[in-house]
Amino acid sequence: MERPIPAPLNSPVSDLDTPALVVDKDQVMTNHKVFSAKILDIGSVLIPDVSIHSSVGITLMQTGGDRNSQIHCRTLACAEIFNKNGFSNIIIDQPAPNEETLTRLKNLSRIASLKIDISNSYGITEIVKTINKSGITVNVNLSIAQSIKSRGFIIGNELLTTISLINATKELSLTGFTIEFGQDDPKSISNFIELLKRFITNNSLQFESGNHFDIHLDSVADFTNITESNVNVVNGDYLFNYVNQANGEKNSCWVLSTVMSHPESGRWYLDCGQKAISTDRGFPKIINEAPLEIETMSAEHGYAFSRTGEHPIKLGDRIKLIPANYADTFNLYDFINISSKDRLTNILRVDSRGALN
Amino acid sequence: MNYRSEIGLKAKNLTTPRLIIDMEALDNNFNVIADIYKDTDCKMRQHAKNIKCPEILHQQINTGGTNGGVCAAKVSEAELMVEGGITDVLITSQIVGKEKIRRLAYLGKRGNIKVCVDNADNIKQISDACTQANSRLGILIEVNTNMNRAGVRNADQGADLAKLADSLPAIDFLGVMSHQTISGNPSKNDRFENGKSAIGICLDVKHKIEDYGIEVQIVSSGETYTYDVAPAMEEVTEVEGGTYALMGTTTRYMEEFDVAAKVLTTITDVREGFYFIDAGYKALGGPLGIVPAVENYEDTLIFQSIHDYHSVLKSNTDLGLKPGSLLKLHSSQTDILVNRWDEFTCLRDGLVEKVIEITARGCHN
Repeated sequence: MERPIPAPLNSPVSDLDTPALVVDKDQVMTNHKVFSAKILDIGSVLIPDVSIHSSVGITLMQTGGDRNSQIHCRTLACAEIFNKNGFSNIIIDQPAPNEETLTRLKNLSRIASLKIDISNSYGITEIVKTINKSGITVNVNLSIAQSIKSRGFIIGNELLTTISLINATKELSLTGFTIEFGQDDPKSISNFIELLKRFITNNSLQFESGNHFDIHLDSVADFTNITESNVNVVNGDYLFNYVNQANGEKNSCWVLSTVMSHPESGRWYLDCGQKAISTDRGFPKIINEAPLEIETMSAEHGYAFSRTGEHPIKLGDRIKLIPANYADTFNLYDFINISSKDRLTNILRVDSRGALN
Repeated sequence: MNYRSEIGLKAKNLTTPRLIIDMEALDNNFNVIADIYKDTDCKMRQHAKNIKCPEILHQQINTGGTNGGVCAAKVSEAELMVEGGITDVLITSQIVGKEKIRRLAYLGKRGNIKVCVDNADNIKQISDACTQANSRLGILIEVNTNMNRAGVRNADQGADLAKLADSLPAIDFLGVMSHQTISGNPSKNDRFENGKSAIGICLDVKHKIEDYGIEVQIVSSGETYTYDVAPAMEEVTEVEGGTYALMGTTTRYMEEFDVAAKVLTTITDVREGFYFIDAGYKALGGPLGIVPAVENYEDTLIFQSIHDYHSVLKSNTDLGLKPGSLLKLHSSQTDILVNRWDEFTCLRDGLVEKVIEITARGCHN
């Protein structure tokens, strides 16, 4: 487990032991307010994807302290942890189709209101085997893929057969469809929903008035063209920088690092490497220290350089690094340092860190 | 600690994704080290940064070939080693910052702790902290050889720092340290040529320090790719190997070692040659864009994309794999992989032998 030297509350953030994951609460709340308003403007409901930060404390910021609000967990293990922390209205993404996992799912269904995203007929068949005659009801959303390379049902016969199976199983209730949208998806969200609705109508399937399309949104996907009224938007990383991940002005999350060696002009060696900030999807960016850039990272350390040569930064100085991906980076920490006006105001646990199975 | 309900189960009954250790492969890797260092003065000082677990490090110490100590990358990792009963620890990074140096100095009261330096101010701060803590630390000068990371850039810089360390209270100048790398898929000749050249730079600094009449007790150099190069250089006293224990795909050219750390994953869907599995970035890591390899399907089942919690693979042939089938994935970089997990599930003869907590996971500080 992470073992930072604890800093007293109200300490300057720059005094934290490093590497340290820091979240600016004021900017988080601003980002939440702005993003929520945009979702409200298009007539949708925002469901926090808590697996981005895995923190009960940050989730409570998103829900205004309400533990009955619906949240989205990417794994069953994450859902179990949030349920233990009082959350009882949970969407779970794609539980693994094996006996032990589905038995745990059944047990959690007895104490929490669950909705399960399922991406293929095998998953549904295995759930039916597990919950058959159990007396519980599992709400199911079917994940719809936009292409053969994506997880989910392709609009067609397998989807029809699965809907029929769900309708014939009294323990299952179809509550809607989930569609993942990212930056590169060619179809607009509304067009794709329209396509899916036409398929439903053409096949004389019932789409209940209470059912929803859950749009699982990549932070950079364009959601402003949503015109449907029954759409939920599932997202989590909007909290940290919803507009543009390279835009430092809106950023609310960074890793604080220390310069630990300056062996030659124009090069600095940092105490933050790939174990403390994820490089799976690119190198981090350095905030407020232009023209310093990250050249590369090893497991333990980062290497910064200046294209213009020397820079006044020296041994022991602190550098802020914006991760290329927030979810990957939260997953590396056990604690989040919450700041306000550059002072430490709270330390939160990354409660479901590593809850993968 | 939770009750380990997995003990004695077969792999097919485990929930996935899961980090497993193939214990037969681990035994092989530890035996290779025990054999090669059996009769040499140079010994293995295994690096803890990729195993992060004293129980497994003790296994190499008990198997043989080591000097009884380990390396650690950070102060917190060193603390975990001392608490896990391994009290001879070399910290292979510079430790900077008042609070962290204070913690380092106090660790010197609990074990035989050594730390690498490349800066005069840093040496003075460590000496001051040890004086205040009434402790002693060993000091090694880090030498840059072929990586251009930290470390002194020439022998004169190294000698100046050694003289300083030798003159200050509460610290003991002990020697020099270097870490080097080789890229691609080198032959044994390439490894020896590259390794000897790089370690030779570290030895040049040693000789310069000795010219000033200062004794150099330790030359800590070498790693997995030079594990057989360094002991052939008589002045090298210890080798900082780490990768060899669990192995990754980028060091497959070391054929005497087997891949021991694997991620067990379940196929959740198969569709027109695309295979969907339940392991993504959070379970695997894909540092610098290098994707894992699939055991037994290395050339036939290829990663197409990795997402937070799942991945998509592609095959152009019918592999007979179905939803529910298990796969084992080999990581390119086990340091990054292990650091994402809280425990190892250790399998022998296809059964879970033990589950071990990765106590130093997340020890960044």
